[in-house]
Amino acid sequence: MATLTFSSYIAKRIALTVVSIFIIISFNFFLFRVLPGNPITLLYRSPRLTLNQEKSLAIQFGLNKPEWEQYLLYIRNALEGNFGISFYYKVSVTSELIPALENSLVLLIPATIISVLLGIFTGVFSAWRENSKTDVAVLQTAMAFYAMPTFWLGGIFILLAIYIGGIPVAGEYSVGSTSILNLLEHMALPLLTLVLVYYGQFTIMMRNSLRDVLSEDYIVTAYAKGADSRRILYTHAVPNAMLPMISLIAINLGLMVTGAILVETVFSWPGIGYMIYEAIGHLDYPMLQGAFIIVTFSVVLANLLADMIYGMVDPRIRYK
Amino acid sequence: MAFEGKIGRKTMVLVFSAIIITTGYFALFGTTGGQYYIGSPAVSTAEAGTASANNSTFTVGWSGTSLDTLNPYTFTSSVSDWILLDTYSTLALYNANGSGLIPELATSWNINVSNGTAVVHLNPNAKFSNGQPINSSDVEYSYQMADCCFSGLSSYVCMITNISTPNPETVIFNFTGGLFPLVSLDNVFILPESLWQNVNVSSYFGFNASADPSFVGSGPFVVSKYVQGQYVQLSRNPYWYLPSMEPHVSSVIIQCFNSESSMFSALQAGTIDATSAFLLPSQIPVVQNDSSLHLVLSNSFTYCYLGFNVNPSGAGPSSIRNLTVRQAITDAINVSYVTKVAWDGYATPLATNFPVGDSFLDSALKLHPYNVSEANSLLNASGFSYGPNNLRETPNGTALAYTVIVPSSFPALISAATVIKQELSQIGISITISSISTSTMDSIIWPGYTQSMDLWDWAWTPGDPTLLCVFTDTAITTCLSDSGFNNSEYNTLYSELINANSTQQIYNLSDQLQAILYNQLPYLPLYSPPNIAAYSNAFTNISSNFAGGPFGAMDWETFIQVEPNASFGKTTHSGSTLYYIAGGIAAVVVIAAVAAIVIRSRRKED
Repeated sequence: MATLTFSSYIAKRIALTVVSIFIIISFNFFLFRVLPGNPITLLYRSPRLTLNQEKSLAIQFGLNKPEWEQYLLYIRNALEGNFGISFYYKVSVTSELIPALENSLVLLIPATIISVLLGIFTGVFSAWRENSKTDVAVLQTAMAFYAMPTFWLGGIFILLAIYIGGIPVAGEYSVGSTSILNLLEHMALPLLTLVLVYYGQFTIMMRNSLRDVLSEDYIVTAYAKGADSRRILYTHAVPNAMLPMISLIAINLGLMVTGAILVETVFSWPGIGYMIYEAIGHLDYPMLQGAFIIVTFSVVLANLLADMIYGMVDPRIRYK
Repeated sequence: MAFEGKIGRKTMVLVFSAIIITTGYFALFGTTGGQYYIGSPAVSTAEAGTASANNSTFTVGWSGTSLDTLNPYTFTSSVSDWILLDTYSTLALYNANGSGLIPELATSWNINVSNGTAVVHLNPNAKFSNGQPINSSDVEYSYQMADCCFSGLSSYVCMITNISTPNPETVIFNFTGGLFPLVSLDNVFILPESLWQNVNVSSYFGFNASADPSFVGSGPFVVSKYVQGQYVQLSRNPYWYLPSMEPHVSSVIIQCFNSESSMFSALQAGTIDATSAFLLPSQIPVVQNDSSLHLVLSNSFTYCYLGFNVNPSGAGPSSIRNLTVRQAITDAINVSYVTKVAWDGYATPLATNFPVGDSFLDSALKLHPYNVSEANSLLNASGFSYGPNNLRETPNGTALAYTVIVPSSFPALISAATVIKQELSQIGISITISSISTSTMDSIIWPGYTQSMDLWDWAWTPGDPTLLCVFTDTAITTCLSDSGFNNSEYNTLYSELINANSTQQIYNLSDQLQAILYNQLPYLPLYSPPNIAAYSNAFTNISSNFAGGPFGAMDWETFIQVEPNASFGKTTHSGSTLYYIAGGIAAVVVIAAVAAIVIRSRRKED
C-alpha cells in the first residue's frame, strides 16, 4: 500500500514538473521580448549600419517573422535541444553556453558541497552547545560571513593575494595550461570566497532546525530514559533536523547553474553568470533563452529531487 | 546541555602548538618567503624581463566587451577588430591620427578621384600564413565579400562600382565620390579566397580549432589559440612579408577579464604585462606609485555629448526644440568643469562632434563660452519667465523641466549629468537624471523620440568623416540619430561630402557640417574621455601616438613594436599556491584535532 502511494506521489510530482517546465519555457520567450530596446540597433550602434543591413540582420536573426511564428519555432527548437544562434557571438548558443556552464560548475559544485558539509557540521555543533560561548561564536561568525558582500570579501582576498604574491587572482587557468593543479590554484580564492559566504546560511538553518528538534518531547523522553547523548543527537535529532536543509540544498543546487556572477566578475572566472549578464546587455535573446531554459530545468529538477527525498524520509508528506 | 569547564594544561599546550605550527607555516611560505608567480603563467613579468626577444610572450588584459567573433565581416567588438588588425593585411594602414596611409599589402597606389579610378600594386612577395601567395583575386574576393549585406565593412566599399585584376599583382578599383581614398584602402581585411569560399562566410567564426591550420591570415601574427571567454593567442606569422614590420615578440596573448578591477589586480599580481585602456582615474595614483608599472594616458577615439531631442515629429518636450533654449542651456553649462568632474581632469573638453585628435576635428571651433548671465538674458528675452518653484516656464506655461537619460554603465556620464543638473538650476531649468540601461535608452529614443535629452557617446575610427551621417535624416530612419536632427542644408552638404571630388573638399565640407552642428546644437559635445592603461616595465618600445593609445584596440603598431626590456630586473620567486592550499588544509586539520582533544578532555573532566 505504501509503495503504491509513493509511486503515485512521484508520478504526480513528475507530471507537475513537466507542466511547470512548459509554462516557464513559454514565459522565457515572452519575458525577453518585452525587454526594452532593439537588439540590432543596440548591437550595431554604428553610423555605418544601413537600412538594408538592418533588414538583412533582422532576417538573419529571424526577427522579421511574426512573434507567434517565432514562438512556435522556439518551442520546436527547444524540444530538439536547439537554442538557436547567438545574436552576439553568431554561433550556436549551445557551443557558447555549455563551456561556460562547465566552468561555473567546476567552481560551484565543490563550493556548494564544502559549504553544505561545513554548514551542517558547524550548525550541529552550535545547536548542541546552545547558549554557550561556542554557540554564540559559531552563530555570529556564520552570520557575519553570510552578510558579507561576495565582491567585498573577494576583493579583500585579492588584496591579500597581491600582498603575499603568487596566488592567482583571476581566470580559470594560466594561459596555455590545462593542468588540474593549475586549476586548483586558480580556484583557491573564488572557492574560499564562495564557501565562506555560502556556509553561513546552512549553519544558521541547521542550528535553528536542530535546536527545535532538540526541544521536542521525544528527545526529552530519550534523555529521561538515559540514552546516550551522542546517539540521541545523531540517530534521532539530526535526521529530523535535516528536513528543512533538503529544501535549502535543493534550491542551491538548482541555482548553481546560474553561476555566481559577482565572484565570476571579481575573479574573472569565465562562467555562465557573467555570460548571462553580458547577454542581457546585448539583448541576445537566443542566449538568454538558452540560459534560462537550463536554469529552469535545473531548478525544477532539483525541486523534484527534493520532493522525492522528502517523500522518502518523511512518510507524512506522501500520505497528505 | 552546553558544557562549561576549565581547559587543562595539556590542552593549552596543544592549542599553542597548533597556533605556532600554523603561524610558522605561513611565515615560512608567506610574507617572508619572497614572491613567486602564479601557477605556471605563460608569461610573468620576471620571465618577460629576461626573455629573449625571439622567445617572449606579451600578455595584455582586456576588460571591454567580450570578443564576439574573428570573422572580419561580422565582428562588432573592438577586441575582435584589434586582433584582426594584426592578423590580416589591409591594402594600406592608417597612421596615428588617421590623416594618412602607410603601405601594407599594397606597395603603391595611384588614385584619381576625378575619374573615379584607383590602381593598386600589390607586394609580389606577400603570402598568407599557410605559405600561399596573396594575389589580386584574393583582394577582389575580399572586397566583394565586404560589400555583402551581412558585412559590417560595406560602408567602406559601397562606393566601389567595379574591381578588375589585370594581373596577380594589380587591382583596379572604379568608384564614385571622394571617400574611397579615405576609407576603402585601410579597412578591408584581405582573406584567402581558397579557404573562405568553402565556408558560409556570414556565419563562420573565423577560427576553426579542428581544422589544420586553424587560422590562415595575412598579417604579422596568426591566431594560434582561442579559448572561449578566456584568451586569444597570437603567434608570429612564419610567412610575414614585411621585414620592416617584423614583430619583436614571439607571441601575444589577449586575456579576457570580467572587470577592469580584476584586470588591474592581475597586472599587479604579475599575471599580465599590460592592461587595455579601461582603467579608472582612481587607479592612476596606484600605477604611478608602483615603480614596476608604466602609465599610459591617451586620447580616446570616443566622444561624449549631451543630445537634445530636436525631432520635430518626436514626442519629446517642444521647448527643447527651441534653439534659444538650447543656446541658453549651452551657455549655462561649463563644459570644462563638467569634463574635470567626470574624469578627474583627465578628459579633454570638446567643441565639436569628433573625438579629440581626429584629423577631421575642426580646431577652429572653440568651446561655447560659459556665461550664465547671457543664458538668463536669452531666456528672459524670449519670454521664458520664472514660474512657481523657481522654475522657468514657456510662454504657454509649461515648466522647463527635463529628464536626462544616461547609461547606467557609464559612471563618468552620470557624474557629468549631476554637474549639468546643478548648473542648469542656475537658469531656472530643472533636470531629472534617469540612469538606465542602454537597451532602455534605445526603447525611449526610437522610434518615438520621447526623451528630452540624453548623455551618451560615439566611438569612431579616426580619419573617417562619415561619423557626421549621424545628423542626417537617414539616421533617423536607421535609429542612429538620437537627436532627430533634420536640417535640409546639412543633408545636402553631407551628400556633397559623400560625392566630393577631392580629399580637400571633404575636409572643407566636414568643417561646414560641424559649423552647422555648432550653431544648431542638436548636440552639445562635452569631452573626449582619456584612455588609461598601464604596462609592466618588463616591456618597452610601446608608443602612445595612436588615438586610443597602445591598448585602445585601434593601434596596429603595439604588438609589432613591443619588446622585452632587457634592463628590467628579475624578481626572485619561489613556492606555489598549492603550498598555501596544503598549508591551509593542514592548519584546519590540526585545529580540528585540537578541538576534538579539548572536547574529549572536557568530557572526561565532566
